[in-house]
Amino acid sequence: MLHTELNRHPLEDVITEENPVRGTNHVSIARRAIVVAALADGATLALLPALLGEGVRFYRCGPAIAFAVSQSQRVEDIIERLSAVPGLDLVDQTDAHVLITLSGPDVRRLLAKAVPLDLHGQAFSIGQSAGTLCGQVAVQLSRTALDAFELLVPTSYAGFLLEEIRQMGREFAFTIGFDQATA
Amino acid sequence: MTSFRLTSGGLLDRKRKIRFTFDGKAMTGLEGDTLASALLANGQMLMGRSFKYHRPRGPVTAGSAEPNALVTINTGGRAEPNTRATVAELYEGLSAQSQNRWPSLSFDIGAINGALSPFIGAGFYYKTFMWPKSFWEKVYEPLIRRAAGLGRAAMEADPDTYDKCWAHCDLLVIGAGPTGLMAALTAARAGARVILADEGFQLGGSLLSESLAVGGMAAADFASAVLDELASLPNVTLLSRTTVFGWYDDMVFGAVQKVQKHVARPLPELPVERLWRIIAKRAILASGAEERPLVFGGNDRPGIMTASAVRTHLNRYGVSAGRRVAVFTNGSSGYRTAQDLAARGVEVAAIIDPRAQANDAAPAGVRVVSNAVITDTMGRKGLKGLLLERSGFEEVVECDALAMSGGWSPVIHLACQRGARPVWSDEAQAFLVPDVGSAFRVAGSAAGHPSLSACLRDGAAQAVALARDLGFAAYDADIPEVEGEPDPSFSPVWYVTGAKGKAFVDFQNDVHVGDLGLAEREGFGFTEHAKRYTTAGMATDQGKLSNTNTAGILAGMRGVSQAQIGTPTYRPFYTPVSFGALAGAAIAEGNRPVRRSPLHGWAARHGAVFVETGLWNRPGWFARSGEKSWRESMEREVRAVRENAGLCDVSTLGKIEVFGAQAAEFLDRIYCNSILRLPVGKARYGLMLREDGIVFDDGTISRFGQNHFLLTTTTAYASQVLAHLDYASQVLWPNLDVRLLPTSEQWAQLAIAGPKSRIILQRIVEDDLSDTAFPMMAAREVTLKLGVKARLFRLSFSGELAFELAVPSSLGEAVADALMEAGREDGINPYGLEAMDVLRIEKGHVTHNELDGRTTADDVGLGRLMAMQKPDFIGRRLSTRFGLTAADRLQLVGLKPVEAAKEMKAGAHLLKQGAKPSMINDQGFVSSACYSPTLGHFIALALLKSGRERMGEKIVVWDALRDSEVLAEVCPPVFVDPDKLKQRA
Repeated sequence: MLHTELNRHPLEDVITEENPVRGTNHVSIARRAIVVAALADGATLALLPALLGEGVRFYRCGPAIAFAVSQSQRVEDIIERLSAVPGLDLVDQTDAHVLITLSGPDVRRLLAKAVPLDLHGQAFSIGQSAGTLCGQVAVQLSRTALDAFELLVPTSYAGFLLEEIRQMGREFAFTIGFDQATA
Repeated sequence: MTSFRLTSGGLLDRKRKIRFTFDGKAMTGLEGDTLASALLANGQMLMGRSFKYHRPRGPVTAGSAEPNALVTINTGGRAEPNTRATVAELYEGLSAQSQNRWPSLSFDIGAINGALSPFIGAGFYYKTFMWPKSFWEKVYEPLIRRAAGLGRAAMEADPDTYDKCWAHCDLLVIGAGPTGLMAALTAARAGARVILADEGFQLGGSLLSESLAVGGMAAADFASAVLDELASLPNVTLLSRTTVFGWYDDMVFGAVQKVQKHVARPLPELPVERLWRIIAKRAILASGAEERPLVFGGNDRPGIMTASAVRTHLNRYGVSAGRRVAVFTNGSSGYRTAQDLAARGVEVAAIIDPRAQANDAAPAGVRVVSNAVITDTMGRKGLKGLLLERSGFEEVVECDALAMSGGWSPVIHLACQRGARPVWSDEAQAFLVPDVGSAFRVAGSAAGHPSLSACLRDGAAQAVALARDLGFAAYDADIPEVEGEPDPSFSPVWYVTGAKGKAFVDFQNDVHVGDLGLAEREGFGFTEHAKRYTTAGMATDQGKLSNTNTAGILAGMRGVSQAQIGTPTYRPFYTPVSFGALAGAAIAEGNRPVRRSPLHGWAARHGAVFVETGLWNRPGWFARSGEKSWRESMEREVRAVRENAGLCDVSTLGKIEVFGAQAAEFLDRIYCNSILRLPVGKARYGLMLREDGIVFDDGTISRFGQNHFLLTTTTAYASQVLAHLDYASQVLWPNLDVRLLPTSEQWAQLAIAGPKSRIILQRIVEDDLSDTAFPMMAAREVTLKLGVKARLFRLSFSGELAFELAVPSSLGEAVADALMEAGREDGINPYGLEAMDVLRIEKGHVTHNELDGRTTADDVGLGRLMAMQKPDFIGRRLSTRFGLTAADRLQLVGLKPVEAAKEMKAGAHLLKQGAKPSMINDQGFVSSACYSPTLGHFIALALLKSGRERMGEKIVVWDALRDSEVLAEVCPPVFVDPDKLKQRA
């Protein structure tokens, strides 16, 4: 699916700040991040990361489901790369999610308000991903750096969760804004 | 009232004066004070009135077990009743009010209850106020509650915010006294992730009021040094002002932190309180021990405190409880208090010791009266003297404060909150924690270790054991030496006989020894009964001071050991927790998630009035200027659909994609109707049953490929159906090759319905949509002229020619706009839930109004779908049982009023004509009802006994709630186009 001027981001009218100042603690909303769901048995899913190439993050989110997430690749490219894998079904889930990245020195303290998982570096390392509740919303949470986590949020909940994040982040002066990446 | 501030000493910043008010009177305290210590420094010993008798009371403790000094802090929405002055941190501008008194604390009319005490003993309300019966709820109980009680909850909205958070650690140490500090330090040095939590605003626990030297330095300095090291370690989290209030399954602990309860103006970005859920691999309870009051006549007079409370106020807060203080003690604690008082220049009137002999050293020149007790006290609003009795000889001792010590009760509540019963220890003369598993250990004085040095040793030893258990290389720590430690033993005294006044066991609830005796005489001597009968151990302090004394006295009355009496059950919370903290941020709009459809913005632009449906806000109707009610809008929308076309947001329907070589077989077992031979490119209505044969949910199944299906579910059951399918694929038939993916969020879905829907839709779709090319129940991918792929389904919920168009959700608004533009000249209208409901009732289509968890497929007229020839499907077996096939079951019928203008409403019951309006004569009920703009009168769907056999019968629609009866005719449930000619056009 190509991204055109017809597409509307679900948080378009929620994030109103123009050119917000990006603080040390920041919530970044991806304008466009593609998500491809891969459905296969565990052994097949284990083969996929090696086939995906640069710029694609691969998160296991169930015994037979994984998500390939990218802000630089196209859905079609990922599907083409994986099309030869037997026993694999691929479904575009780009519009089902909003990608929110939280970063900064206080990111764990903010997430501790909403996420019951232990996000200490020894317990949740970079690249690790888990399905979890963030407040009252089920999300796929992944660590992308020491002080950065990304949340794949179901589209219909994104506005509500962003407001919760905004409230939780007040204490740490989190700023919020769209990223500039497009695909 | 002659408590006063000493000129030096205490852990106070004497340069920082803090102004506050008590009952409107301006006072001054110091940085580091509690409200209680500041009041004492101002000579204000009287801090409250007791629960029942309104007796004047002062603080008994200097900590969280305080039963008497309960005040309301702050005003308006921030007013917090029943705050213990002994733990409330003083801050600039604090405003405190006393409670349970009228007109004033000093002169309280309610004190007349004291004179009435013979008539209002324990359980009096069980025996009196019996007649007339109706008076209990309306008169007696409100009066009693008004006369007795604690503070009053604020009725204004709380302006502050609260939040919650999670924390994880290897070791949670509860209590930052000597035991907790040594435990935390030992585990932290070994590299374990440690959380050290303590309810105090300054960490250090009893070390902060300890006069003994530890490790060659003042005890408070020792605590400070340990805390400095802990604070420097990255693996340690120090939580002051944090009460761990509950121990829950899987080593989850609940704690509440007072983040901004000690500031005059809370910062808006911070919560005032924070609820912690701490998940600990291991935990140590280092909560210390509570000094027990002695139970003697007049033991509740303001000025009478535990010896350790007198010591804490003296050493930590630089306040003396009185100018001439007497001591009544059965062990060393009282002697230590006497020594500390004497050392600070406070006169000690006498040490009264019920023991015949004691090894404890009294301060030089202080009179020790051994083998003696106190039988009464004097003074009205403060202590003026006491009556000492020894072998029949009575003597009045003048004093303005009394330090009492009846031994120590380990604080074991947390460890016994999950079912473990405390066990009596003859050696410790206290209840101790039994084995509650190796992950949670009790240490220090909470485990019955009586001395400071033993606590330091035990804290370190327990931490070493737990840290090693977790794989850390922990080493025994150097235990600092405690200089001049006294013998901590004591001789238990449960009840001082010969009391001339009331001898209180439970101060907070005004329970005295006589009440326990009454309970015992009347058969309520069992500990749990005694608690309920007398209220001993109830209310905000939950018997922290009284439970052990109660057990001791009951044991004495029965002539048995305390082991046979036990304690009442300990439950969370250890100390009161505000509702604000429990709710956190989940209040008002934040109390539940609100889901937003991808067409929300489009609907809003067209004037949608949104209604709450589960977590969604869906368009109820689209108001236009000039329309005065929702019904006007709804009628216009229905007419538009029946005559031209309407567009409705159906994105909220659940969508699940099913893949796999055996997906068809899987779905054939899930649905009661046949799915196996559904052709690719076609959709089918599907009905799922529960295992018990009752309908679970309905929806559509579309086949996009040989091994690829898309299911839709009702909006409300989307998650339940997915869970049902997951269960079936993972548990019932794990060998079937099936994979499931919920895809509801991916799609914006629009229903376009009405005779002109095809013409309008064709204007934006490249593919041929003629009836031949795209027949009823077709389902396949199409290309839109906007250049995007979409999924199109020819389905009808309205009974009209209709389609459902699904596009990726980010394109939803653009496509909806395109459809509205394409249909503008043909009179297309957006329509909402109200119109959708009317359209489906007119067609007799069921929703969960009818599929209400009690109906079978046959009940709702869908029995023909049951493919009983299939080998099996979920619900097949039990659907044939007698109860579900009985001829008199409620069956779906239509109802139309005999008089066209009459209104029927959902929820009304059905009666045979002439039957008395009563549920005994109940024949069924109305499940859905509406005004039909198409027919011009009300119509209803109903579930009626043997309904299908009763067509044409006149029946009474009896609405007891709205007090109406309408005569209606039973008719088939399809009111409009029963031959389905319109949808097949």
